[in-house]
Order: sequence, then structure tokens, then C-alpha cells
Amino acid sequence: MRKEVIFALILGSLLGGIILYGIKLANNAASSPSQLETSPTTKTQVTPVPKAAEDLIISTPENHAVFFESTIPVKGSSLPGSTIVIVTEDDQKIIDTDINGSFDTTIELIGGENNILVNSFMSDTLIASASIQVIYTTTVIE
Amino acid sequence: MIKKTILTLSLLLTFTSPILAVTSTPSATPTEAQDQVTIIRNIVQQNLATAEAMIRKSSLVGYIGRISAISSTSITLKFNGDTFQVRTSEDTTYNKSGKANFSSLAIQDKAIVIGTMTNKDIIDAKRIVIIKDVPSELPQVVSGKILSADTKTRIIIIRTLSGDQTFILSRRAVLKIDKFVSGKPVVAIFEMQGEDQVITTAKVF
Repeated sequence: MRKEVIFALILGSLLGGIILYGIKLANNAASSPSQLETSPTTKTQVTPVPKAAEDLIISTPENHAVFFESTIPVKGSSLPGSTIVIVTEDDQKIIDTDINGSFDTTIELIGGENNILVNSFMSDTLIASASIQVIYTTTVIE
Repeated sequence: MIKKTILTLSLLLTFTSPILAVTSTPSATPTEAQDQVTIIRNIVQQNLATAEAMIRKSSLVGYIGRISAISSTSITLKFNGDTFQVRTSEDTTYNKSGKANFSSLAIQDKAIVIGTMTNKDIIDAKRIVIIKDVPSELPQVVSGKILSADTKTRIIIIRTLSGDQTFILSRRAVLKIDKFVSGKPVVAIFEMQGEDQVITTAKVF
């Protein structure tokens, strides 16, 4: 009786081991080709796809901001090496971004409504465009 | 067991030393202390007032739109397809070719509203200015390859994505006409002067 139990335990363990090894082999066989195929795809997917909104960020001024001075800073970022064209009702600027893609300049405002159009170019190719509206007033607002 | 617990607690309480301040609090007379409190209170109040004024100024927003409805104390402003409720108060100031008041506002008026945004579509107006209904015209931007540039007539032809376009280089332009070399990429800002497209600023790559 005791011998039978020991024999059954040994046989069960062997059988279990064989089944586990088989499953592992099957899993490896199933995953290997797909890994090989997906490797290059994964590489290309990692490369970020440029989005227009991220290619040009105007950090200053904020849209619909109110100013009490006629000269205001315009700051932001685009792709390194890009050219930034800023157009307003009263001012025009063509500037280059720095090595980090940042730009920083000042513009003149007119009283009341001011539309600020910012375009980013790489050579003569338009990368991104953004526009904001700000207000310039000399009236003291309590 | 109880004895052990009592013994442990007693030992813990015996060896726990009191935490004393490193430096003793200097003693001050009641008047001196009161003076110090007043000074500190004044400084805090001044700083608060400055911070409040700064926040108030920076939190101001300005919207330009058309008045589409007027109720007893508020107006509806339409801006680029969005609708805002503009609430007015006794403190709101008005301007419509001079000093005005709430009753001066009319439907279809083009208005600049300066105030604070209390909700995503509610503005508490501090000032409402009715402006002339003149469309804002920004200078335009063009980019492409220079096809030709005439140094005498200052006429420049640029090949753009939408076809070849003819421009005149303004005499006020910083960039000189001889910099416009055919075949080179260019980005330029131009404005309409009559029927002429006049380049005012440009960059030749």
C-alpha cells in the first residue's frame, strides 16, 4: 500500500514536469516569430510623430490676456532650427529659434483688440501655426 | 503577565526624558510684544494687498464679440461660435464713443469685455467697451522659392504651393532686393496696398 502511494507520487511529479516543459516549449515557439516581426515596427512606432499643436507652443502671452503696457514679450518653443514669423496688427517679426527650439521677442500692441498670429517654418515649409487674441488698455481697472 | 506589563511600562516611563527647547524664549514686556505684533500685522497686510492686486490684474481676461442678447443685468456675447454670459455690476464701467452705461448697449454691438472668468462661459465684467465694427486685417505670410527678383522694379516672383505669386519689395524693408536670389527658399510678410502685394519683412534662406 505504501509502495503504491510513493510510486503514484513519483509518476504524478514526472507527468506534471513533462506537461509544464511542453507548455513552455509551445509558448516559446508561438512568441518567437511575432517578436521578430514586431521588432522593426516597434522601432518606428517609438519615433514620435510630430503633432502640429506640439510643434509650436506660445507660452507667453496667454490667450485673452489683458495688458496695460503697449510692449509685451512673446515667448514659446518650436522645433530647433525653425524660423518663427509673428504678425500682429501693428508689428511683424521674423526670428530664429535657439538650439532648444525656444524663441523670445517683444511685440507692440495697439489699443483694444490685438490678434497675434505665430507661424513656424522649417526653411520655406510651414510646420505649425497658432493665433491668440489679447487686449491692450490704458484704463485702470479696479 | 500583568506584573511584567506593569514593569515594562514603569521602565519606559522612568527612562523617557523630557524634550527641552534648545533656546529659551526671550522674555518681552507686554508693550514690546504688542508693537512687534502690530509691525508684523502691517507687513502681512501690505503683502496681502500687493499679492491680491497682482492676482486680480493677472486674472483679468478680455473677449471681443458681438452682443446677441441683453437682459436686466447681463448680456450674451458671441465670440467665434462660443457664447458667454457677461454679468455686470454697479462697478462695471462702460464706453461707447465716450462714457456710457448699461442702457447704452445694443444688440449686434461689437464689444470688448474685460473682467474675470468665474466659470468657463461666465464673465463678471469690469469694463465693457463698444468698438467700431471694422474687421481686423493682419498682414499675410507667404513662403516658397524665389523664381525671380528684379533689382530695378523690385518685383519678386515666388513659387508657392498655390502657384506663382508676384510681390513688390517695400522700400521700407530691411532686407535688400539683391538678397533675393532665384532658387532660394524665402519666408515673407506682406500687406495689400491697393492691388499690390507689398513685402515688408522677409527672410531668405
